[in-house]
Amino acid sequence: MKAIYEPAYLAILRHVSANSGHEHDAKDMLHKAWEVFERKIADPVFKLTVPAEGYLLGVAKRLWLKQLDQKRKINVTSSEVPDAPEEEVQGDERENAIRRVVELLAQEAFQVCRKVIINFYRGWSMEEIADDMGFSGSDSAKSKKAKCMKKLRAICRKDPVLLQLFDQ
Amino acid sequence: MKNELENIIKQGVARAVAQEALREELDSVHDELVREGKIPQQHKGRVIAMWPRIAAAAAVILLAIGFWWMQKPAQGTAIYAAHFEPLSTEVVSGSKGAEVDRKNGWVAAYNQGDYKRASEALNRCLSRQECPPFYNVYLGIAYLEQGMVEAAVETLVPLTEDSGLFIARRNLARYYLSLAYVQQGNYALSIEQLDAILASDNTNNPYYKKAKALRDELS
Repeated sequence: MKAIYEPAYLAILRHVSANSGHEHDAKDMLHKAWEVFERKIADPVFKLTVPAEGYLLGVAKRLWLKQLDQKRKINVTSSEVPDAPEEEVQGDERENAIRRVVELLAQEAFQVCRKVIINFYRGWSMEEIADDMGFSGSDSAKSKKAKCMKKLRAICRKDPVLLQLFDQ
Repeated sequence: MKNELENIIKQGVARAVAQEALREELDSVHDELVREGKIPQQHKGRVIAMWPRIAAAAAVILLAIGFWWMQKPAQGTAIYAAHFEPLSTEVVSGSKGAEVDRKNGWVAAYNQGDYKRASEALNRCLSRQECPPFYNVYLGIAYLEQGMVEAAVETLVPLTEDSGLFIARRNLARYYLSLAYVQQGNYALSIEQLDAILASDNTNNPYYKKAKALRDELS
């Protein structure tokens, strides 16, 4: 992992630094690109035709340009967009819906619930969750986890992006 | 639609769990590469863009003027590296809080050299007052090893003052504080702490010898 990480990070850092970014942006883009990479290599149909660090750079470049575009920091013309796997960033509807759930989980106001849910699905016991979060005990953690899942379902059912995806 | 949404939520949660695990692993690789000096350390400021080369050249001239100032911390870093040794967790093993330590995970992270995770766990433990104040020494060490020297100084200074700690333990804090000052190139403050150890400590204490060796080098 380190052998791929080092050259990929340095290349992404060069690109991001030259395009209004900081070191933490480079790290963030690499980590996001790596998530895409992990999903792709789990797919038996996927064939990696370039070195892994080149693939990561391509995905990170596209993600960074997309982020810059969203922030309207710069105007990106199509000729400036480097060769990179477009489908990794776009995805299909189902993939977009899953990503949306991940985004909803990452919302600032949902952080306590996110931690409870994630640690539960990582296999932590209710005692451990209670201990980590400062709850009074395992019953309290269990009840919090149930409430959090209920809240997540409610948020998802009302989310305009998910509703739009399901309407199609 | 309800079942489909339920499936999507499940997959979204599973994705978030996998992402969290991957991010932790990538963070740890990143920190390791920074420690090994293979990738640059993250700064809060903006990375210099390629275009203002003239401004960069002017900065180089200014840096050359202040070169001798740069020497001190660079030299300090070398002295720090030669004298630093993490404080063993054996010092606190078997104490009343051993069970809390195990659950909190700081001991494991600290002994694995994962100082980021160790400092997070220690902060959690100390803020909830589950760990004794002496554990701030380990927190200070964890900060030092992450290059967070100012945070280390802020953490260690209160322990060296009227902290209610036994002298031997206070001197441990003094030793690591002196190393933090060395890192900053502030040798006068470092010597002050070392002299305090040498004036009060038992000569059989291994930290007396360490303090003496560091004091001799700074003289």
